[in-house]
Amino acid sequence: MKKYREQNEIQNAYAEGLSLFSNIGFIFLIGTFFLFVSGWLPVRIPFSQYAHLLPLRAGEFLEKTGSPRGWEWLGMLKYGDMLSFAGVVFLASISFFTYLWILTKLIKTKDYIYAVLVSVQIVIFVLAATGAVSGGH
Amino acid sequence: MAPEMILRMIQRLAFLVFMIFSFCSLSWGSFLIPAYATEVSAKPAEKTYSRVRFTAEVAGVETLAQPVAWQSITPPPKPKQVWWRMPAILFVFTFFLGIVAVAAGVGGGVLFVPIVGGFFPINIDFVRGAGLMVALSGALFAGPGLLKKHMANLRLAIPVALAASISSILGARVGLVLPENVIQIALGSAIVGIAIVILLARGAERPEVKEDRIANWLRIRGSYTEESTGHEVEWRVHRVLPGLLLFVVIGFMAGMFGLGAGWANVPALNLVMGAPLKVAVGTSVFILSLTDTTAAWVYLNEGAVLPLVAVPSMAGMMMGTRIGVKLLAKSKPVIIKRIVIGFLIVAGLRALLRGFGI
Repeated sequence: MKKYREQNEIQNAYAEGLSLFSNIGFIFLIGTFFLFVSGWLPVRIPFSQYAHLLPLRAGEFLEKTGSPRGWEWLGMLKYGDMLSFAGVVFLASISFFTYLWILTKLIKTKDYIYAVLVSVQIVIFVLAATGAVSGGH
Repeated sequence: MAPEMILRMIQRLAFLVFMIFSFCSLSWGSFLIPAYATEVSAKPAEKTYSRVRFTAEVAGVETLAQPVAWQSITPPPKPKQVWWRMPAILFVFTFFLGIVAVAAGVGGGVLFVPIVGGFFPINIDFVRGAGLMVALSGALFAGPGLLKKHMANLRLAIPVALAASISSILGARVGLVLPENVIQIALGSAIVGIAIVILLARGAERPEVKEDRIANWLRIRGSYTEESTGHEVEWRVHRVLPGLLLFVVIGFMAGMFGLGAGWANVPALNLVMGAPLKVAVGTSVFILSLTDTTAAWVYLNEGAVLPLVAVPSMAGMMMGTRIGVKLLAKSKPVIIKRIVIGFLIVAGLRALLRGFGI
C-alpha cells in the first residue's frame, strides 16, 4: 500500500541487513565451531574435562577453569574454544548492527520518535554487551 | 514412494524420537549419557581386583577384600573419554525438537530449556544460556522473511522490544544469582503456567480495535496481504501502555529462564494490543531477536554460554525448524500440540520436584 511505502522501505532495509548479517553469522558460527572441535587449534579447556565441569554453575565453572569474563576472550583467540565463542558473540551482535543500519534511515526520513527509540535500544545493547549492566567485568 | 508419504514418515520419526527422549528424560534423567559421556573400561580393573582379593583371602587379610583396599593398591582406571557424544546427541535431539516445535506451534526455546535441563547432565545456567541462543538464532533467521512479507512489523516491534529488553537484563541477572533450587521451582512453575497459557489461549484472527492516543502518536499500523483471499488487510492497535507493561514482565521471564517468549508475545500482541493474529505471530518471532539479544549478552558475559553446548543446539534447532516448516503444511498438528503441552506440564512438575529436593 502506498501510504505505508516509507514504513515498508525501512522495514525492507532492515530485513536485507538482518538477512545479510544472519547468513554471515551462521557461516562464521559453524566455521569457528568446526575449527574448535576438529583439533586444529589448541583449546583452553581439554574436551575430556567438560564432563566434570558441565554440572557446575557458571560462576564455579569460570573459577575452576580460569575462563575469561566479559571481553577478556578477545586476547585468547588463538584457542579453538575462544574462537568458537567469537562465533556465538557475532550472532548475538547482529541486532546491534541492524539497529545501527536503520537508525541512519530513520534520521534521513525524519522519523525522530523512532530514531530516539532505536537509539535507546542501541544504548541498552551496548550496556549489556560491555557488561556495564550485566556485571561482566 | 510419494514425497508426501516420505514427509509424513520423517515427521512421525521426529515425533517418535522426541517422545523417546522426553520420556527418558522425565523417567530416568540422564541415563543415556552415563557418567557424563565417559566410558570406563572396567575389565582390567575387575581382573586386578580379583587378583588382589584372591591374594588377600589366601593371606587371610579380610580388609584387602574390600573395594577400598583395591582402590589403594590399584590406581583407578583411566576413563576413555567420548566428549563428542554429548554435542552430537544435543544436535540430533534439537534437530527433532525443531521439527516437533514447529508442528506444535511453540517456540524451540520453551521446549529446549525444560527438556534439555532435565535430560542432559548440564547445569541449568548453561542450558538457559544455550536456550536463549537457540531462540535468538531461530528468530534471526525467520526475521527477514517475516518482515518482507509484512507478517512482522517493525513499528510494532521496536517499542515493545525496548520494554522487554530492559527487563530481560534484570531477569537474566536475577536468574544467574538465585540459588539453583529457587530457579528450578520458579522454572517449574513458569513452565506449567506457560503450558496452560498455550493450551487455553485462543487467538482472535482480526480483533476489533479502537486506536488509542499512543498508538496514533507512534503510528503503529500497517497492512499485509491475506494469502487465502489475496486482499490487503489494514490493521491498527490499541491498549499500547498495558501492552508495554506486559512486555516488561515477559522480558523479565525470558531473561530469567532463557525460554524465548513467543508463548507470551503472541497473546500480548493479539489479545491485549489487538494486532491481527498473523501479524502478532510474525512480530513475536522478530521481537525475540531483540529481547533475547540483550539477555544473551548477560549470559555471555557471565560465562554461561558454552560453544560446545550452544552451537550444536543452535544448528540442530535451525535445521529442524526449516524442515518442520516444510512439513507443517502437510500435517495435522493438533494432537502433536496437545502431547507437547502434556510433556511441558510434566517437565515443569519435574523441575518443581527437583527444586523442592524431592
